[in-house]
Amino acid sequence: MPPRESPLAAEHAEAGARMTEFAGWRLPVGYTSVAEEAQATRRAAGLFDISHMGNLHVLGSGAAAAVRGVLTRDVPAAPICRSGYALMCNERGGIMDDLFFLVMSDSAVGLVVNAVHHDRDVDWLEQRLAIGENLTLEDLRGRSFGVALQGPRSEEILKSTNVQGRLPDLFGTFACLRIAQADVLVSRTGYTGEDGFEIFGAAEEAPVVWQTVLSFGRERGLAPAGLAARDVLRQEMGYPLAGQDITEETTPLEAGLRWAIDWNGDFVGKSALEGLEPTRRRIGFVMAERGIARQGAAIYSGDSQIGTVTSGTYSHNLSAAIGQGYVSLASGLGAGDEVEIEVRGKRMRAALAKLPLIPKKTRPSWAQVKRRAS
Amino acid sequence: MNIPDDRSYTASHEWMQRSADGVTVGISDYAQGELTDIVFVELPEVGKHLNAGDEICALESVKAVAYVYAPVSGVVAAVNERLGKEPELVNQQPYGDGWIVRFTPDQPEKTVNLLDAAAYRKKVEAAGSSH
Repeated sequence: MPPRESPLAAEHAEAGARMTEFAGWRLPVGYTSVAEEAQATRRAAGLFDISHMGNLHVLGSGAAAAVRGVLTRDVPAAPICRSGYALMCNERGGIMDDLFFLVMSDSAVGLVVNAVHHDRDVDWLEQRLAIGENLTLEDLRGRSFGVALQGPRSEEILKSTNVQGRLPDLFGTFACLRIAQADVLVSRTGYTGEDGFEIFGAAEEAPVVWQTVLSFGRERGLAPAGLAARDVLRQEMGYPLAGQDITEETTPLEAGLRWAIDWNGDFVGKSALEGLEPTRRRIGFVMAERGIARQGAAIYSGDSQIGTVTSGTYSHNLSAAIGQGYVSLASGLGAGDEVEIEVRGKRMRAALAKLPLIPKKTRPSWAQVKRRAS
Repeated sequence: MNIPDDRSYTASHEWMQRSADGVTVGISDYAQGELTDIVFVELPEVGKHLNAGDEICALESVKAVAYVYAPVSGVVAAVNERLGKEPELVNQQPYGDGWIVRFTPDQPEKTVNLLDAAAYRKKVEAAGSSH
C-alpha cells in the first residue's frame, strides 16, 4: 500500500524537506539539520506537521463517561475545554497507547492517538465502548490536519497571526479559534516540553494555517521541524514513544507514568495494576563515551545485565548522546549511577539520569493551578 | 540530488576519487541526507590494511548508525582528523571537507563494483527519495 500523504505534502516539497515513511505515512524527517531544528524549538519555536496522529471522535450521549472506562485518567465533565494526557491499557495493565483526550462536551470527546497504533486503537475502542448502541466513533483520518507550534515564542507567534479568539492559557486546555479564516481547535499541549500549541482542523485548511503561522513566525525565529528533531526533543524530555518505550509488555508503573493514573473510577486494566509490584523502571541515561545506545542495547552493571535501552539519540542541546530504557529495581541503581551500555559490540560508559534531562517549560496545568489555589 | 561526475560510487553509497595522493573516500550527499546529522565518526588507524568491501568505520547519526565500506583494497594513508570535532562536515560538504579516509591502493588493487555518476543517480532515484 502506498504511504498516506499529509495534507501539507506540497508545503514540505516546496520547503525542500527530506521525506521518510513512518507508520504508513510519508512525512518530513527534516528540512535543514536536526541540530538547527531542535535548537530553534528550544530557543524560539518549531513548527511540526502532526497530521499523521490519529484524530478520533467519540460522539453520543454519555461519551465522556464511556471514554473514562478505557483511559487511566479522569475525563472531566464538560464544559471546561480540557485536554489531557492518558494511557489506554489492556486487561493486564499493559500499555496499548498513550494519547491526548479533548473533552468538547459530555457527548463529544476527541482522542489524539499514535499513528502506529491507529487501527488497533479503533478496533479496541469499538469493542470496549459498545460503539453502535448509543455511541459512534468518528475517524477523521485523511480529513483532518494537525500542526504543533512549540517553543518559548509560540504564544507571541500565534498572536502575531491575528488569530481570532482567546488563546487557551493553561497547559491542557483548548479553544476554538480562527487563523487566517480557518476554524481550528487549538490545544495548549505538545511533545517537546516547551510551551506551545497543537492546532487541529479540516485537511483542506492545513496549507493556509501552516503558511500563515510560518510567515508570521519566521522573523521571530520559527523554523519548520521534522520527525527527527521531534524525536530528539521528546527524548530530551524523557517522553515515551508508544510502541517503543511503552508497549503492551510494559505497565504505567514500570514506565514512571503513575502520575497519569487517576485511581478513582473504574477503567480497563485498573484491577491488574492495583495488584502489580513493578520489578523494573524506566530511566534516562547520558553516554560518557562517543557512541549512541539505541533500542535493544543491553545495560550492564559489572558483568550482569540490569536493563535494556528502548530509545537513544544524540542531543545537540545537551552536547551528549542520551536515551532511556528499563533498569531492574533489584539492581538498586538509579540516577547518577554509572553503568555500561553495549554500542556496536563494545561496552561504553554511561550514567543513569533522572528524566527529564532538560527542565520542562510548559505552562502550569489546570490541576496545578487548582492545587495552588486551595 | 548532488552527484558529481568526477568520481565513482558504490551501491553502499560511498564515493571514491583517484588522485596523485591515492584514493579518497567519503559518503554521498544522498547517504548523508538519509542519515540526518552525523554526530560521531569513529576513524580507523592510519597504516591499517583493508580489503575492498571491509568496514572502514562507523558513522553515528541522530537517527541511525551506518558503516562505511572500503571501495578499494589498500592501506589507510590518511584520515580526516577534523571529523573528530566537526562530524557535521560529512553532512555539510560530503564531497569536500567531509571526506573520510585516503587509501594507498594495493598493487594490483581490487575494488568492489563501482558505479559512475549516471548509474549511481539511477540507483538513488529508484530508491524513491524526494530530492
